[in-house]
Amino acid sequence: MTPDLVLPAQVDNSTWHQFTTWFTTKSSWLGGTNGTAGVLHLFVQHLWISALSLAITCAIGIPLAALLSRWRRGGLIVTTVANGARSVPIIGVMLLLAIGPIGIGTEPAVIALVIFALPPILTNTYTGICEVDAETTRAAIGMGMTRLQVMRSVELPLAIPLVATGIRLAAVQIWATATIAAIVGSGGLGQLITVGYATQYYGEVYGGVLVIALSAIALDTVLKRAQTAVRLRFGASQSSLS
Amino acid sequence: MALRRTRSSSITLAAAGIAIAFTAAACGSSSSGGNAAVNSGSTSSSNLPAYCGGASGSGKVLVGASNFAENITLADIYVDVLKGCGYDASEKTFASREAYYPLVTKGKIQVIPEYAATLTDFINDAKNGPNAPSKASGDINTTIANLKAELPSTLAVLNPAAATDRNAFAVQTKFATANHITTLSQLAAYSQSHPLTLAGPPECPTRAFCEPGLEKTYGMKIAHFQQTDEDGPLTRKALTSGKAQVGLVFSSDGDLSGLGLTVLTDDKDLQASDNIVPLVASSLATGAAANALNAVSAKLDQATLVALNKAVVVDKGTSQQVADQFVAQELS
Repeated sequence: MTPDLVLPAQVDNSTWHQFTTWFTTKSSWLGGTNGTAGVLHLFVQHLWISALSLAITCAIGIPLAALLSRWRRGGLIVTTVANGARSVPIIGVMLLLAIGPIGIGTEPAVIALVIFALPPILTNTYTGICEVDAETTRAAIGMGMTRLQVMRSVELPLAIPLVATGIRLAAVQIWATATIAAIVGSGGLGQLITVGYATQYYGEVYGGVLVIALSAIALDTVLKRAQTAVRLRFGASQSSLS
Repeated sequence: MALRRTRSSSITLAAAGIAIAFTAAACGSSSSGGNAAVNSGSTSSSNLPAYCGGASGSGKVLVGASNFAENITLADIYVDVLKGCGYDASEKTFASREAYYPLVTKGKIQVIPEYAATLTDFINDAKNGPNAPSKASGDINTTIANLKAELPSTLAVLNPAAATDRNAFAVQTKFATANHITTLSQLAAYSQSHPLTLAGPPECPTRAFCEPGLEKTYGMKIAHFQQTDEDGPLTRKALTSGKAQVGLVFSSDGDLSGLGLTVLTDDKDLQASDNIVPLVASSLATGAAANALNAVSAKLDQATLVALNKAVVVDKGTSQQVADQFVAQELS
């Protein structure tokens, strides 16, 4: 078909050459003068989508798990919701939301990511609360605490190490999966892949994959450290209480 | 690359194409019934339809089509008129130009409804390599002249239709009416005080016939690019929801008016001239076949092509029904 750019025969157009060119070009990172988005801009978009999705997932998942832990059949509901959410094809949900009532942009991506990230937070919080020693809970009630006070001051603090695990798992999943948000026009680092693929500039695709993978590993490492700190802090309070 | 006529990525039409391919195959095996009305009286040349131009034809003619709704409908029309002029015409659908073109050059297929600019580039690329400078132009006469120059002597192209199937830009109809905009130049003038959001596939910001073309050729002010898809549901959603004011579509899409969208005229010929043109074996370049296919081209203006596509893709008529109706209404 019509080439937009006629390359002289001697130009090295191999993918490796494309990749090194992409990697060493300033506009790849800071954005081009013609308004094309660079890694920095896309990273901020990616961070925004991921942080928003994680915040909403926590806001829904943690209270829901706490509520269900009070209910005899709560465990069954947690398992059903978690398994259901896990089996949802996220790309399909995103596209259906985008062409449906929600419209294209950040919203369909965030909604789909919340559904996707709900299982680890829901199950970990639920397990964390249920595994609080029954003796501890009874002691708290014996001290005259109401159910709400027991939940707020005893059960949830004791569940924090497991809740933290859930949040870390959800955060890393969201970060890596937010890549496909680019398909519904919400930008983010996935745009490096969609644009690179569409323009057959595969060096950019490799660059995008590398940036996403490395940042996901970095995020996981940081969150693991944070989680250890949380466990030391709240794990200690657990032993002092029990 | 992908911004050219790559129908496989157009979800709506591809899906319809699959449905229609099935129908067309069924029609192909029992087409004599469907065409009885068109066929009547074809034995004596005095009773031939006017579109045969007073000549009559004979012998077998195989019409090839690419596997998407519009092309199959056009091939059905070609088969109808060729039968009307006395040819023993039949139809076969193919996955792509790559699949049927070698058979055309070998004389196994005699007629194809083609797209002038894409065919010109296809033959040019096959001859001179994929990076050869394009010989297709925004002007259809230049494109046809270049196409005729590179065609092998065994093949010929007949008259191009006014109708095109090429990249085009759509806006909301109510927006166009309220601001008296029918052309891209008028939209560019409007954009000077109201910079626009453009919706299109990921490659749009770097492709000469998309965002850079609108900015350079028309001087359009584009404030923001909203990445969507290539002429698919996301682009339609971006336009109908107002997320973008202008979006990349194809000029012959049949579903746009139903969605409240209007294609603006490409008054500076930014896009290559992908007019519908019959590619035929040289033996059919004169006589009844040429007269009939030229008569079809003469009736195929943009509104008619869009109506044909709408009848198949949106209103779910079979391509054969739509073709028969076109021949009965426009050519009799």
